[in-house]
Amino acid sequence: MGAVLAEMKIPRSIHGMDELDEAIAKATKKEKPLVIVYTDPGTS
Amino acid sequence: MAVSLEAFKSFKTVGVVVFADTKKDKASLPKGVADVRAKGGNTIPMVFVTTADGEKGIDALPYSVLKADMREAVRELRKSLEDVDVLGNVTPEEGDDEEEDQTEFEFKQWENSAGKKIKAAVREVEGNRVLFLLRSGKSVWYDISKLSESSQLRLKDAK
Repeated sequence: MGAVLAEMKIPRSIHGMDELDEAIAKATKKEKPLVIVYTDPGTS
Repeated sequence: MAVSLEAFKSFKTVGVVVFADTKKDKASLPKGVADVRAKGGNTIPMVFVTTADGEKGIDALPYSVLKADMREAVRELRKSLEDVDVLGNVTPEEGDDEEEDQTEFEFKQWENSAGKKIKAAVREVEGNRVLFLLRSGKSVWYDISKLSESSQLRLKDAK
């Protein structure tokens, strides 16, 4: 199951901020940027 | 709010997507977000793009852009990243804000070891670095060892 942000379920392939280190490692390995979606999961 | 959280999955084609909650993650956003925070505007959701290590801001997409056409926003973002070293290890040359006369340079396609391609002209080679002139007029130093084998050979021939 993917991470849960408030009532919204985040797809497994997308990281939450608690997985930022993992996301950075993945982005560096793949030579991709970090794309941070800044939102209030209760209103998006 | 008209933008569904699910829609942001399309940004996976641009980079590694991280969801940040405005209520609890504001203080822990990567450092590079501060560089582009103003461009994100005042309405959420908004999208920030940083280097892979999160240290430098690259771009931001405000809600108005996301709402208008998310697909187009993703496409434009992908295009704008073509000339950017997302690892953040490119040092802009001093004075690169000045317009460069590009007519005397020959632009060619170069590829790094990860398969990422850029179109640039070689201005100078110094030790193990090459100074690329990008189409945008900016000049950036790049480690030659990070280029693909074929690009390294081509560079050697060009010297």
